[in-house]
Amino acid sequence: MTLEEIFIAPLQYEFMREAIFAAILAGLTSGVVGAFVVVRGMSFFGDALAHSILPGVAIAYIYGTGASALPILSSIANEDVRLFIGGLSAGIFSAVLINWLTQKNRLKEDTAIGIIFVAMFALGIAIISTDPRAYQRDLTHILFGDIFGITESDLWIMIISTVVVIGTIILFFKELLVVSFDSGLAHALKLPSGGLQLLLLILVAVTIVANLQAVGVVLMLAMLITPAATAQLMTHRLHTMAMLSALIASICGVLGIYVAWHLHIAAAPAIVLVVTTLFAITFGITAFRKRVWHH
Amino acid sequence: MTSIAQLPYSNAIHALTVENLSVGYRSGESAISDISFQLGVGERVALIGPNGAGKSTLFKALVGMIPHQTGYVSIHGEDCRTSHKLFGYVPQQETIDWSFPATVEDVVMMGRVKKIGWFKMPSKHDRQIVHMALDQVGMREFAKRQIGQLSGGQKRRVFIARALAQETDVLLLDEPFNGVDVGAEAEILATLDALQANGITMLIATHDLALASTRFDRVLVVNCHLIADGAPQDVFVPDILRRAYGNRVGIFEHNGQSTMVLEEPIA
Repeated sequence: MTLEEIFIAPLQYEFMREAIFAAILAGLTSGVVGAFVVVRGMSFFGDALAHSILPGVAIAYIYGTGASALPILSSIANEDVRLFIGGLSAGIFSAVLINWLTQKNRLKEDTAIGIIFVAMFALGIAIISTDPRAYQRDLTHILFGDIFGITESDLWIMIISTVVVIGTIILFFKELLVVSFDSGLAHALKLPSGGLQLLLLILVAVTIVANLQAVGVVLMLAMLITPAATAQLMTHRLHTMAMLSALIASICGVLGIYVAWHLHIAAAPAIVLVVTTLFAITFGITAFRKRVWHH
Repeated sequence: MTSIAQLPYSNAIHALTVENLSVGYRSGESAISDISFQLGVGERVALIGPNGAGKSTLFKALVGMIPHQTGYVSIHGEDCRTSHKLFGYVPQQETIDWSFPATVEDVVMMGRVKKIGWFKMPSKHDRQIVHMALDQVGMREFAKRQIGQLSGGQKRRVFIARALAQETDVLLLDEPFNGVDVGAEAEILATLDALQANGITMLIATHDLALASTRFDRVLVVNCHLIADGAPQDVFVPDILRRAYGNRVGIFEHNGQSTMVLEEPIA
């Protein structure tokens, strides 16, 4: 096989070009937001949030059109936008609920996350199971993504989310850095610490919901954590880490699409395995260099 | 050596005034009740008390991390709730993630974030202030290092530089001597001496009673309440220490001389 056959030939298909574009957009947002998720030690929270958007997506899916449609949902003409808004509402609801449960030490954070996350996920599956056809066919797409079936409106949602998420992080970067590193300093500087933390949670939620079609709920965490963890091995400044992480996630996303195409495997797991391979190689090199340096 | 009494009358506005400050009990925090004291400009005061006495709570209440129930706090006579004046805060080192991707310079620049303002990048002026702050603590040559690659004493000095970069002259230091060796302790003390010479006011929480009694001219003793406030020779007396530390202090009298032994587990 020539390079032309590997990389150029598949591009004759429109769904392949769209999948690659979607992988780049998903990589940019999850890479940048993932840097904050990693340095703040929020990986469990990120995983939970990805799962807890399910009931919102399910309600938007089942009650969006037809005889049982809810007026508030059917007023949104585009189905992809409906799913996005449903998922985002459920995500923000869960984030605020977890935040409220852990305030004043009512519950330990990981306990609160564990309770809400599985309950929301169960609720989502319960709602989808009311529609046997959706349960069989579409649940898989929500759980594991459907990047080859990405629609034009999905791509627009991803483009707008990418601009909004990355733009917000650039605008508030130094304040988010302070809050992430030392919330005591944030208070001493009289920064709106609670508001900034909530902003970050909302950005995580937007990223997850926007990338739902590309990666799916179950494998979302890998796109948030693994590229950022790889980038952290390469640099010791947060803004460099965020940029590297976005680059790694995008490149691995595109490579994953090609791997999926040529090996006839599902796209989302292929992307996750590519990015994990890169992490393993980087980790190995870092460990080796440390040993060489120290001897 | 400066103390309130020696300051000229024109400096009568205190660097820090705390009146009737109370913070209720929340899990993880000790309560403090009805604490009042004042720090004169350029004073360096030690804050001592047993574990759980509320030293960290007092600091957190002062910087606004936990809300006051009652009380009034002012910096240079301006009410903290409305004033733009800020505390320079050096948190307990155990609360910091040392693997965080930030260089020494990045950490000190964090102290400038409020001054830089929303939606703006650090200017040349901000970078100059960061470098000056690093010079003041003798850490300029480490500017590009990742913060985890520093020794215990160096880490403390970087955080002191960060507080200086805030351009404030009232510093709160929470256990800056905890877990550092004698050499690092001397370095930190030298830094604090230099700051005091520049008129910086400092309140320093410490477990180290020997240090509090030899290197400070004023000591606050707290255990929920303010138990004593005065010069070391007036504070380190059996009665006060017994009230602060309870049965964790042993006092032995012999030939009119008393020896005090304190059993203080390291936090």
